[in-house]
Amino acid sequence: MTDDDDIPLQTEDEIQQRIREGGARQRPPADGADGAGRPARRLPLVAVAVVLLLGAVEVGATLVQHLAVPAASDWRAAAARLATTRRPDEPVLFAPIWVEPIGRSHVRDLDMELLLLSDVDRYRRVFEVSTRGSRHPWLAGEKPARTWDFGGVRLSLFERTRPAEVLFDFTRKIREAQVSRIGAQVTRCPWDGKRRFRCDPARGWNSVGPHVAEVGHRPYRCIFAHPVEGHVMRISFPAAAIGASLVGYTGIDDFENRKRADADVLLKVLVGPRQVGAIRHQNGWPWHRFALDTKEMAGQTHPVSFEISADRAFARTFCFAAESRR
Amino acid sequence: MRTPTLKDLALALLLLVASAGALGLAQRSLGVMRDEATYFQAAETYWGWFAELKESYRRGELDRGLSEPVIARYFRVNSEHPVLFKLLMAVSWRYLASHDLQRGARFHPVQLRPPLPSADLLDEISAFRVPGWVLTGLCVALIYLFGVRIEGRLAGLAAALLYITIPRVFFHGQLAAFDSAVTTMWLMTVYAYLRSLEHARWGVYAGVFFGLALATKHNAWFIPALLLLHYLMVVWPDLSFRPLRLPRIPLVFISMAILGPLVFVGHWPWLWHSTLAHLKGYFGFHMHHSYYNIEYLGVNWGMPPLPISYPFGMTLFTVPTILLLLGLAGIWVYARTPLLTWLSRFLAVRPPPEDSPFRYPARRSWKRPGKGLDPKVGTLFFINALFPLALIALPSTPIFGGTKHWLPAYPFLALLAGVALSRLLRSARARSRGRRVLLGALLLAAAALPGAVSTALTHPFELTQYNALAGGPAGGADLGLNRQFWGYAVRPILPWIDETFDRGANVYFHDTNYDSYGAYIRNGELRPDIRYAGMERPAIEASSYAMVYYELHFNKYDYWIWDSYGTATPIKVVDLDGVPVLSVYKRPEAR
Repeated sequence: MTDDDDIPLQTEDEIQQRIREGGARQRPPADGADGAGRPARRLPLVAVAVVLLLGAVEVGATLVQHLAVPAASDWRAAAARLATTRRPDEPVLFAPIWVEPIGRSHVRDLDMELLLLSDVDRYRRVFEVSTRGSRHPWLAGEKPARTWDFGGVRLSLFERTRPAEVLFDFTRKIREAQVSRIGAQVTRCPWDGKRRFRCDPARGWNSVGPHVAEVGHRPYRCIFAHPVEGHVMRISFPAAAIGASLVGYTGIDDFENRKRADADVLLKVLVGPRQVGAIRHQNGWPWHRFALDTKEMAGQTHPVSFEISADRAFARTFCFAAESRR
Repeated sequence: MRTPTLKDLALALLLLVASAGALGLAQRSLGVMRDEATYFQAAETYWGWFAELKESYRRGELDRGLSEPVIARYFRVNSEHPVLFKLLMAVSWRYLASHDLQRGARFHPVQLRPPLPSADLLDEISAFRVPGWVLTGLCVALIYLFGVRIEGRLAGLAAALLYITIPRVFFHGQLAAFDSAVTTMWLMTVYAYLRSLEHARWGVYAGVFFGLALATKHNAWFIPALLLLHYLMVVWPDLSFRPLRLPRIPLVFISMAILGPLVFVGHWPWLWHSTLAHLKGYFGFHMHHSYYNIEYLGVNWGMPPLPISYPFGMTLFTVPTILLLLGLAGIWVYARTPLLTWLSRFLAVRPPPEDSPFRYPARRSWKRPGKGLDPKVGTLFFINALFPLALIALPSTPIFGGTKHWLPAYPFLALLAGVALSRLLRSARARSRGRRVLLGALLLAAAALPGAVSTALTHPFELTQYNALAGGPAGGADLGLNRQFWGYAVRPILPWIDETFDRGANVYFHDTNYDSYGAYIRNGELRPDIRYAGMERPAIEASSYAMVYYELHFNKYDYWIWDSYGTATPIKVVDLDGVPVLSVYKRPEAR
């Protein structure tokens, strides 16, 4: 028998009495040994210190985060540098993307087309204005050729050795197209002189034309082409220069329409009579890139047609962009 | 349990006054929420009924004032919500606001006959909001008293301060909206229920408080189920199955079953006629609620189900981290003994010695259903802290969005944290009273300052606030968390608008609704010649100035404005810590 085993027995009444007197709090030290009890006694003080430290760290972090915001003068300095370094047709990207409104308010001479790009493949020089050490997703993995720091704002210049050469920008040349709605009979859709090829004056949505679409909550310049059930919307360009590839993007404009319906939209691409590709755009997709191989016809000029259809056309505010690349 | 002393009551009163005062002072720069503006209109309309009732009485035609057509004319407005809070708003507006019925006359929903004698103390927006500050202050005071009763003064004080310094709590406490108010009512009901376990009269109070909670907001309907669950856990050790002796239904539940609906129906004239049809409409509205759009982790959630993690993630990123950790410590304080005892069956862990003073069978009765039983306070707090979040996490719950929908959880989280802090101080065993007070003060400061600092730095845009763990507002934006809602961020720039916008400017106000615009004009904060262009794309096309509030699903309005105005350069961007909240554009032709 050890000393530890030598515990005096207590009656139920004695236990009750001890509890009434707060006996539980006057329990003998745990496991007897003094050496083991000392750290246990220190534990509350350590816990107090941890709480004080945590509070201080959280306050400190909050203040640091608040003070780390770039000043307006930083933005102005970056915009001034950009104005002297950049040519008007060179794009400016903002990172993180959510900071863009502040960026746009300072970088005032931006052509709106440059804010509606689907990618920056065609540009030899691309500028990025960033805060918080962010990088625009389109420039991920690339190293800037030059950077300028203005307080919390960094201006970076990216130079590309082999930018894509665009031979024919279908989106920009939409007014040169011929549009028709093909069903049991073919209906030609005339240009209304303002913004649209109108197929049915009574149904404003049944039209084709240049458009600014919101897809994945981002803006894109594209060709609006709402499908019509039981019909095919055909957009034809009589003579387009063909390169090695035909690159484009598809999307459903406006998140409300993506909520209202979920049907796919089919886009067929034809060069002359030959179908070179088809994209079945699904409702949940973001701005979806496609690249079609046209090497066989590279260097030639052909009619190019885009045919849009959907089994269920309700709320299918389809929009696409396309360009022929060398 | 400790009985609060006179000193505690005085301190509770001080907390009430200080909290309500701070909220009242702070809200002056806080914009009018879409919902608030609707409630302003409803409150004023309801007051119109009282005016008509008084007139009917004067003419000896009281029956007419109480008839269905007359009641319906006034109470059809915003009939999806009960009216207690809106009636309080109506009273404070009527008797505290300075009334200028000529200014913005077209925005008054009913034509009240002047003069309207009033204490003339506040502008109209502030006057409508008074009940919100007072009820939030009451919640702070009640948390303190609750903490004192279950643990001690430090626990109460810590819990009260931790609660009011949660930035989102402070934000909602300023408003003429139901969320903070129903949180108070919820806490009052739970407090009364806990007291009712040993005191019969509190069972009656609990019924009344539950009725007031129902009269404030519909989420109160869940309270009895939670309390019943708790009571079953309390009474479980005292139940006998051989022979089967089920407990009689406790008074507190009978009281809630009778008085709750009585108060609910009694306070709401809309339910006095066509009661079933109107109840059906009320429940139907909330059960088939439309889905809001809410950004969470970079995705706009507009269709159910929301990720289950949503309320927990938002709590993690908006509530001060120290409060969350102390809350977890509080759960550990209460759960340690039963949890370790249970685990000791399977693992080599040693449970703390059982020192429960409770012995069974207890001398309970239907009037004092918890007499002699362990009230399991920790369990009560845990259930009430968890349920509001769990409800929003359910895949079947409509997408609501804001953290306000689980605000009733926060007093209990704060109480758990307060208990943890109190136990910590006690275990630190400061040698002298002076050292104890100093250490207590330091602990209080460490616990409450993170929230207070965050609130101060993010006001008046607390819906864009995210805690230090998330990286602050910018970190929240990086994480793709909701930026704001309710279209309220315009108020701080109204003086600039008044100064710079052209005379008669037609303005697309985006998410600021027509009633909020009207409230600003009535309050003399917006030039009356500035026009409200309307909604959606036609309004943008017709406008000469346009605004866009930054929420992920609102980005399309930005692009519509670019397309219509031919420019993507805003003339002003309102931001919080570099995070854009609102942009204003001017149509170039209007220059």
